[in-house]
Amino acid sequence: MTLPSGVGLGWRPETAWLIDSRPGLAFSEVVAEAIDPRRPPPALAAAIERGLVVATHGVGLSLGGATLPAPARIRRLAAVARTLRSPVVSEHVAFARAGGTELGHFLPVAFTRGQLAVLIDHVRRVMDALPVPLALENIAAPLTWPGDQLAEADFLAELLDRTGAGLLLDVANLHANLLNHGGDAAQTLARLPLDRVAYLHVAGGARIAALWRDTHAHPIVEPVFDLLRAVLARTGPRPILLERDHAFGRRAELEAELDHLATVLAAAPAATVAPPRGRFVALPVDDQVVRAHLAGLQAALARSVVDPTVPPPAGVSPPHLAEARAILGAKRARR
Amino acid sequence: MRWVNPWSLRGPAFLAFWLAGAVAALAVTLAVRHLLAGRRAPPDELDRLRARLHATDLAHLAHGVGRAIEAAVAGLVHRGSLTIEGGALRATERVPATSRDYVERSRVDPTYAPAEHYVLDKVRNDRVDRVARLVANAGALDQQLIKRRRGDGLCSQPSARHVWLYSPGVAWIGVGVAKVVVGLARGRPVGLLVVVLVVAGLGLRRIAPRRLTARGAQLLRAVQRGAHGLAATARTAPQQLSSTEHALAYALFGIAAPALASVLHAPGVVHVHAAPGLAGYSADDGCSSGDDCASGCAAGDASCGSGAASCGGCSP
Repeated sequence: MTLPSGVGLGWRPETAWLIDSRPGLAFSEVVAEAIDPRRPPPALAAAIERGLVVATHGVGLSLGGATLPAPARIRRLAAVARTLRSPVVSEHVAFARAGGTELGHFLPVAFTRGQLAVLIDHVRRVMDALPVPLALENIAAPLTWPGDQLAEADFLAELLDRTGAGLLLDVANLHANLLNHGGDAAQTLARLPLDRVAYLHVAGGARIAALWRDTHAHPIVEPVFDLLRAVLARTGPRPILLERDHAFGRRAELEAELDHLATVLAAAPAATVAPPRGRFVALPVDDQVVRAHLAGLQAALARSVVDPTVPPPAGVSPPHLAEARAILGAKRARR
Repeated sequence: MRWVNPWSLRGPAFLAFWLAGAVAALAVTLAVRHLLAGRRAPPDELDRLRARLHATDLAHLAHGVGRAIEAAVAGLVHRGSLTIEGGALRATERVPATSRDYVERSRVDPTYAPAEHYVLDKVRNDRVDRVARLVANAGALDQQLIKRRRGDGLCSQPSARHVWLYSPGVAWIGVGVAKVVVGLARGRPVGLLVVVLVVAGLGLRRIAPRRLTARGAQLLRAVQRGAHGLAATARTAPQQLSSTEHALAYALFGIAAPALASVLHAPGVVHVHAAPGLAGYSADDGCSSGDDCASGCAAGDASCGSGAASCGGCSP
């Protein structure tokens, strides 16, 4: 079973009634860490009983970390997927903890062959433990690592090809990265493994200070719709999920965004474009050395993000580090 | 099998005999109660019935006229037809003082449900500005709504019901009373039997007849099952709801917007600013990967405490 093609909306208590009462909503998605698998919210359980298809979205595995994802977290993710009868589980290509520091937000992985080898190992282990297919999501990176050996699109293509995982392409995150770190949208799309798209994320954002933030609290901007059209032109119709995490506004505003997404999806051509394949080189084999190196770098970055007095690893852009600190600070202030 | 004459049984033996019969009488009573509730409705008829009921009608069906009036106030305030000034209600629209049959008035002017017509009429024309007084004076509205719900087959008819429901219990208590008389005539101790009979009589009184018919209970269960999402959103993002949905959230789950805190004080009312966490949902972890996402979700989901059998709205 896969997600039905159509437009969906992320399930939260704030959106539960809209999801229940909007005719034609194709599916939903719920953050796994928010759900008790033994006792899901009655509103969610009732919606699933009525036939709502729900993707399970993980935010806690820290797949890109130097250490193995905690087995208990993987088991919990699998349990939520079973409880919600999800056809797919998704997680992020990122790390959320390092060197004993819990970030509470994602930091980007370095696009190196060593990091790729570690991620492939983690993804395979998680896939083995899940009852349904896994899709991996690109994040909105507040900063980039110096010394990347691969472009993000090539990194994702190889990761998915070597693991068999699907792609949860977050179009808003892609838009944010192109704006904040540069890059050509058409070239990026041409290299992304779009044939592996399980579903798409779209969300609103805003320019805050120097950078574009994927806020999940603002309306979707037209350039994101344009990028979505460009993605669909290559993939053909795919399930699209609108993410909104706060500032929900009035129902009519969310409904208008869902309608707009449905219009974009309806205009998508049936044809799909196959991305390039099979030019991968060998990965590093000394797992311990790679992990130790990665652990040192990630821990240094994590410490400098949570503690402004700690200098960042060499080569990390100070404005981008400041952005990461601001995002994390805002999140911690809300909790 | 040898026939036993109960009148010749000695005290403990008769007591055992009588208690065994009392259990059987209780079973018959419950079966009669079930039968008197009638048959369940097919799904299409349930949908048809549901479409005819306003949120305030459902409030009346589930919790009685008080909840119906409060739900009407919740919806009318959201709609702007009522305002709250210093805890007092004010009508913002002119309301004709026509018929006091609010069900009929709603049929003629379906802009408002019967309970809403009642509230607007009382606030505007009779200068009743407190919810408690609206509820206290709502006897006629209650009767009108009950009559209508009986017409819909959602509320039971009490007259025929009581005779059949209590007959087995009354008959069996009568057997016990006869034995007391026989015992007294024979000069036997009957104190324990009298106590047992008094307890049985009090217990029989507690077996309330079902206010709702089977289809009434079925309808309420279906509505409540389908409205868990409404409860969750009413508690966390009430601005997402229409006035009818506000009224329905109050009708079914007692969830009221903070603006109504000064006028709705009924027991069990949950004002959203004080809502507890959503069962089975952790707001802190509820964000996906948004940069600003940290979730200020004061989530809540009502566990419906309104069992269909506790229907207050059909009380005669």
